Amino acid sequence: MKRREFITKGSLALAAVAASDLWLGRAFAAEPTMTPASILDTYFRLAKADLSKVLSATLAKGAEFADLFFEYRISSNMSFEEDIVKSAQRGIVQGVGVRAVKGDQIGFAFTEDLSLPSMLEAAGAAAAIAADNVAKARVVGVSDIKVKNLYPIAELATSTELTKKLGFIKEANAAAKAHDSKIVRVSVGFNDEVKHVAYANSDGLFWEDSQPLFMFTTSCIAEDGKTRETGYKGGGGRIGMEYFNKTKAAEIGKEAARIALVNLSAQEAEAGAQTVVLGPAESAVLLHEAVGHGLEADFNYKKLSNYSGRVGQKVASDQCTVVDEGLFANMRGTINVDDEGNTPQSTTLIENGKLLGYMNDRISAKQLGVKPSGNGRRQAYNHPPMPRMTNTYLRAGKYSADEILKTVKDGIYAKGFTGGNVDITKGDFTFSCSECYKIEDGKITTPLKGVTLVGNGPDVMTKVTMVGNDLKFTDGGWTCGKNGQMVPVGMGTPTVKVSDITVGGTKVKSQGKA
Amino acid sequence: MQDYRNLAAELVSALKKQGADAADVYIVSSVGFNTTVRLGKIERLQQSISKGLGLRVIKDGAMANTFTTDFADRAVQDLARETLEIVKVSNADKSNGLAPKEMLGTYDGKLLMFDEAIGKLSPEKKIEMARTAEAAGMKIDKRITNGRGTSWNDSRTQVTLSNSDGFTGQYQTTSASLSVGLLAEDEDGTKQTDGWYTFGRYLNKLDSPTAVGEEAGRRVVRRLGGRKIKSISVPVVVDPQVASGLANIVFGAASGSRVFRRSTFLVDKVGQQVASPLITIIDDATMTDGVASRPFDGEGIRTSQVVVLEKGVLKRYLCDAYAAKRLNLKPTGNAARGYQSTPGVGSSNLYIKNGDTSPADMIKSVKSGLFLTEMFGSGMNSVTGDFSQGATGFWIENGEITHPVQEITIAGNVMKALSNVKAVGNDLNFKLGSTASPTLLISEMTVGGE
Repeated sequence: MKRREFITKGSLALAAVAASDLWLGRAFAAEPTMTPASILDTYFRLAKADLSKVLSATLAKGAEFADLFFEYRISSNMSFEEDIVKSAQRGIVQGVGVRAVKGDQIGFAFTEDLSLPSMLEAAGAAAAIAADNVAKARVVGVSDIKVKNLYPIAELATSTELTKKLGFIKEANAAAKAHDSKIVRVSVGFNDEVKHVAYANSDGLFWEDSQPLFMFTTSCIAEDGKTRETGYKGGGGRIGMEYFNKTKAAEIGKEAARIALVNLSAQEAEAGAQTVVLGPAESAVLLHEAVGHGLEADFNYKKLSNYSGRVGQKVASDQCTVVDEGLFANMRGTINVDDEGNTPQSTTLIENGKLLGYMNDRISAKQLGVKPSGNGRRQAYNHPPMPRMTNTYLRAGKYSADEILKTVKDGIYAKGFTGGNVDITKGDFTFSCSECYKIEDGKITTPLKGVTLVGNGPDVMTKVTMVGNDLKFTDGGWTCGKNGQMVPVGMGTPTVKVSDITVGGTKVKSQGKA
Repeated sequence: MQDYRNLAAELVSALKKQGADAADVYIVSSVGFNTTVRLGKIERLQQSISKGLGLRVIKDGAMANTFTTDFADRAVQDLARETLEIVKVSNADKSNGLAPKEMLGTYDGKLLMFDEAIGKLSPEKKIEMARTAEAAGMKIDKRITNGRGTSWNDSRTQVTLSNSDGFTGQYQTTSASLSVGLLAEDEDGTKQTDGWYTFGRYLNKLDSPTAVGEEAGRRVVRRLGGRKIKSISVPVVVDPQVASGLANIVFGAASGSRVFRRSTFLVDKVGQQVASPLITIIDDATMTDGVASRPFDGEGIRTSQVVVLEKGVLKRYLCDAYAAKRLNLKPTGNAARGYQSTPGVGSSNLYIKNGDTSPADMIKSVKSGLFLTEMFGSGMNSVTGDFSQGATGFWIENGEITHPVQEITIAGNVMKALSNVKAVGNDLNFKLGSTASPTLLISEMTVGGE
């Protein structure tokens, strides 16, 4: 049994279920805007005085810090298959997570019952982590802090008429089917949610945030009489229906169909070490696995990461500058405020190959004696926060994609990915391609059957020999998993050349002895 | 735990009264405890009380579902009304519907699902077990220098289902697990992590904390000195954890919901030889002390033993009510469900049947090959059965394990691999979870390396 951190996209990643605001409109007719006057009052029918009582109870046994995370999530999902709406779904999940902190020890409890007695019971359970049992009466008052507004929404998907959503769904469906007669099956999903959060902690800080999340997906099956293959394309972010002004639904459908057809003609790949050119945007899976997780500070103050104690050292080639930045408007990994009240930042993790620092939450920052970097995130009220990535990217370099390809006589061009994972201690990672080609004499040629690339983080990062000037962020719905918690993330990269990386294929190039 | 049968049944009749042609209500409630210890210190104490309720409605052939964690009268009544609004936007599909009436019911044999002893354990005792396990593991070898965390988890869960064909059922289960994560360091500073765990519905079925810790220790130490190998095609001995993954893939590929979509390599294969005659795969929700046993499935069908593969021949597709109707088959009692979702096809206690070869004899029989202990990554194409994944294991030379190998890939096709099974181990057990397998010997697989 081993734990591995991972990333995934697609149906697994759909952050639950969402709904049309056909229902939202009904349930909250008086609340057409994204941010209601007070989330605490509207969704939880609580006053700040109640929060003070619960916080005091959480501190009662000697904890040095306590926080409360209230969540009310409205989610909806429409699935369209065989040219009809197969199902419509809507859900409401509400609850509060109560945390007591002492050093790096956490007492945590949650409840879906938001009555004061239930919350006080949860507070009592969380408080138990501070075992000294010395009652330290501490009165906690809370006052508001202002949070950013990084997800401006023109038209919240959960407030849009269902017929309008159906129009986009049908557009994608028709475009995928029309792409080729070999496309035998198409399914389209429309998923959206809005998560209303209210937060208070024993430092007296209080904030509210409404977090929209939106995903539009198409998957296709292509069949040619002999084999069947799939293609998938998704798009979205913390954005509203205006997403479709920029990206046409039909393009998403068509792209899914195109990938299915490419895979239908794919050949077996050779196993072994090869030169790999990673295409822009989605190849950032490599960064996420090879670098990102290893630089989350909890693994580092516990000395569990292969990057532990290496700040100031060279951990990648000179061309690599890696940044985590939760600030890009409407991006999937963007947050106005992290889940314990710290402001997200642009954190340069690696600069020209040199390790500058880690991503921190409140606890890890204290352990390492640094400031929190706004990376404390949690899946939901029923999990405590920990250091997580937001939007992670590799800065653009100086080469054009063409210049990079031309240097490769014989190699692999990896363009699309289904996911990856990493063993953070050893640094060994795996990532899997959904679209990948041979490179012959500097040109992209035959498609290859979904190959897996494996390597070791710092080792591969030193083998990055060329970085492109075409930095691009993914539009896809990537979801990152760590210790059983899933959070939405964004990422980006320009075209990158790695001089050698192990490729998992079904053909053996040259029989070797171990 | 509060009895929700009345709430569920009343909601079903309210939905019928408001115009639903058919409806069901699925409620899951649970109480859980977790503690994590690292290097002897408590890192986390967690308590959870959790519940959720899902409604499903079928009207004029169309389906909709809703869910909530708020059980207040008003909230639930509002949700019921809204479900009947939502269903208007869904389209008719003649395969929508509840499970066949004559198959509804509760398995009446003995299922050991609930252990009173778990609820009686004090938090102090749980913390002590975690500490004991970690300490036992750390003691195994002085190269073990750090802990990744040792966790004790237990929970009590209640499932309640009621539908408009008169079925109402409820059952309670317990589960407990102890998992140990350790880190070992080579002389050259190379670090490796690994761990071990035990899992069960009954306290007395779990391995002792000391045994779990020591196994974790052995497993992390044996990884030290791992190296890469050259790409090669060789015989592979597949350990039970990896082999159980193969059983899972076959189950998924034989799911009716994938078959009618033609998104599986097992389309039109019932009755055909698809794997080695040594392979028999069974899904049994009625195993007496099975960790995933249940008296009825997510649609209220009385559970039974289901043979998936018999001597390598595909026997049937696994179906919930919808997939069964699509394929003109009968449901197999494999409807899996959570309160947030509509039913889908899922396994219970799924296993590859024991063979008669000892794992040690399998390794002895290999001249030059791989003992595969771990596969990871998302490189599995469920439509074609092709896979390409990261892997770790041990090199076998002249019937002996010589050294650990890492940074390799394993690629091939699942059915080809299962057709090439030359021996099945005699070491099946369910201590690691609900999907299990003995050790397998596969004649040839492609290993990607340097």
